[in-house]
Amino acid sequence: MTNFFKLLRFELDRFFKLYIVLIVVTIVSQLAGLVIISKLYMRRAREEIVVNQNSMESFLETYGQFSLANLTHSLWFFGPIALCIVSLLIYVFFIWYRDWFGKNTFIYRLLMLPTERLNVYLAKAMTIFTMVLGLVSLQIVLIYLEMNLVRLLVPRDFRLDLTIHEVIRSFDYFNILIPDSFLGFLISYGTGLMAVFVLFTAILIERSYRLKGVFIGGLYVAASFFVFISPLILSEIFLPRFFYPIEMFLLEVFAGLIVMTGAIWLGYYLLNKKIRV
Amino acid sequence: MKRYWKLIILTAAVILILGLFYTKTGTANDNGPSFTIKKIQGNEEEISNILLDANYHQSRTAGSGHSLQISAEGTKYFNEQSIAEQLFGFGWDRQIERWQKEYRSYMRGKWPSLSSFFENGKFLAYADVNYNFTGPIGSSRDFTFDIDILHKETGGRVKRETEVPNRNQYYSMSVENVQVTDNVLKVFTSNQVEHQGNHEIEIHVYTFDIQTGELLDDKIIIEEKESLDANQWAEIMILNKHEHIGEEEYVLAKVLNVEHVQDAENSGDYVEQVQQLYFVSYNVETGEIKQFEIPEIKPFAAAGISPIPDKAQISGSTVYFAIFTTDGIDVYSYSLETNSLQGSQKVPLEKSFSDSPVIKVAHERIYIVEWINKRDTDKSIIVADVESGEIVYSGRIELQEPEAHSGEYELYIHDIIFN
Repeated sequence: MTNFFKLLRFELDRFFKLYIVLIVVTIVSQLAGLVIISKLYMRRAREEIVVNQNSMESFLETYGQFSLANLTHSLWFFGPIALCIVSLLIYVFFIWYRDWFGKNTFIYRLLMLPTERLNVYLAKAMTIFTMVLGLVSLQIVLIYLEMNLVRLLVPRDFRLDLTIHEVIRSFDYFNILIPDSFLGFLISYGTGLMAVFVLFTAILIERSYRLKGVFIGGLYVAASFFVFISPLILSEIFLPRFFYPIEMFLLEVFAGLIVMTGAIWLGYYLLNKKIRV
Repeated sequence: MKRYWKLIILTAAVILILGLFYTKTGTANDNGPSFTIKKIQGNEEEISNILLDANYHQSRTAGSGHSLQISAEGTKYFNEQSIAEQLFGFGWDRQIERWQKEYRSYMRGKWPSLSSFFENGKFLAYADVNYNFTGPIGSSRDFTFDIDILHKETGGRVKRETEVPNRNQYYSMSVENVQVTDNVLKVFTSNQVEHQGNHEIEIHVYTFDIQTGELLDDKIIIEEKESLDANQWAEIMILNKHEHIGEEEYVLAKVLNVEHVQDAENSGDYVEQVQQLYFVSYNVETGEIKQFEIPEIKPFAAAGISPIPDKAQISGSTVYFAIFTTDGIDVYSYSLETNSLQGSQKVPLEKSFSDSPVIKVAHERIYIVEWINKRDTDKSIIVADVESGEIVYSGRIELQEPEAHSGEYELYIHDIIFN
């Protein structure tokens, strides 16, 4: 156990500088974005009302009230989110490959540690997972900050205050990233964790069988995906509407658990028996 | 320990923030505001059994809005259904939900369309037409009846698959109504036929033995060309198809022929002109077919207003047509037994109603609900007596706690459901 946490700490340290950069970029971009687009909005309001002598009603009719939805629909907001997602996706691969291709083949030392080799695998997965959840938490805190900041920037008559859930819903993909309910959260991030394990195992297949492994790894990912959606295929093609929603849900959870255990077990096997340095 | 601070802080922050977020903010009640039906005039009893299917949109925030149901008691949001239902649910119909609870194994594998079901005290019956994609789209298909009759008392089921007779003539089929009477199951379908380049619609009634599920009879009620040429088209439809899941005396169909003609007076624009409008009634018990016109329901086609209802409300042997006019709603009641108009009433509407309110006739009442409601919408529900035309209730859909929900909104009403 201590070995696992040592490895986790170690992996976290290795990415921490870049992680801080992602955090700072997100904070700066979203807060600056809010200030800038609210200022632009208020400037336009002044122009319309003071210079063009339009009524406030007609301005609001044309441009609408200002709400955080204006922010969430802008690049200022989803740009850094996309950046974080892409960075972490790349890091899923980088976290393994740099141990082979970095200075002095670090993987050699990792695998020689007097601990279960699976700990290396699990620590890397938990690193990705913790960092993802860290960014999600940051986004939640940021939305609360933005909800308060917008009150300082835009006068009440021009402003439409949204609840946190309305802000989340105003951005299309947020209901996957920040689901409404805790169960939804478990589904989103359980599926995410499963995908990380599958990708890790695919990487290990490639590392074990090299060029042939690319092909086998691809097949493995496809097979995992197929197992995961097999309840859906069953209910769509062979037994239409036979299963009730709750039964489908349990079948899906079961299929997900099979894929996840399969990935970890295969990863364990490859690390111990097949891996090449 | 000192070397672990990053890990500790990160984990603690994640647990604290996500924990607070999912315990403190609440979820379901945050969908949107609650609405109730508030009386302006009349007897509140009149609306105690209705539910309004609605969709709530907040202006200026994107998103698809939220489905909800409004009744005199309050609001229920669609999102309040479970995650499993949101992910894998097959529709949202209270009646079908009720059957799924009560007859769990019977309801498996059934297409959740009310027109495929029949229910009375003794039976719950289901009929659908299935096919496999064999040839290219447009070619004939291997249509097969899927019949499933549940005897409520004994729990016995008659389940049978039968080939549709002459099935290679049809390129589409849909079940419109299902009835059980005198030991037979009658399935009303609309079949599309391709006949020498012309599209034809045939309304069939297929009769099955309720004990064996065997197909006894196939009879054509209406056969009509759907389109003759580019300027002419017809609409052939069964008027009591949805919501009618119980016993009915009559099944009623409408046949409408329309031609596009150039309007000489009006800058040569093409206008729709009704060539022919007639109705066909089928007596479910006796099988008697009557074809008739109702001269009082004048087939005119004015700009933007559809004068001929797509739905008719049938109760017993009386059919009610509700026709929206410029100053109100004309309600015609017509007897299918004597084939005569029994009465017509005008329900006056105030100007505040927009072009196409939701209209339903049931329980001797006509219900008229404004379909788009905003913060300042005043009157939005009217209930009137179909016999006298007298307004027995009027009310509005009221936002609760208006001060807590600033901003404009739109509340769209799709349907009136009776509890």
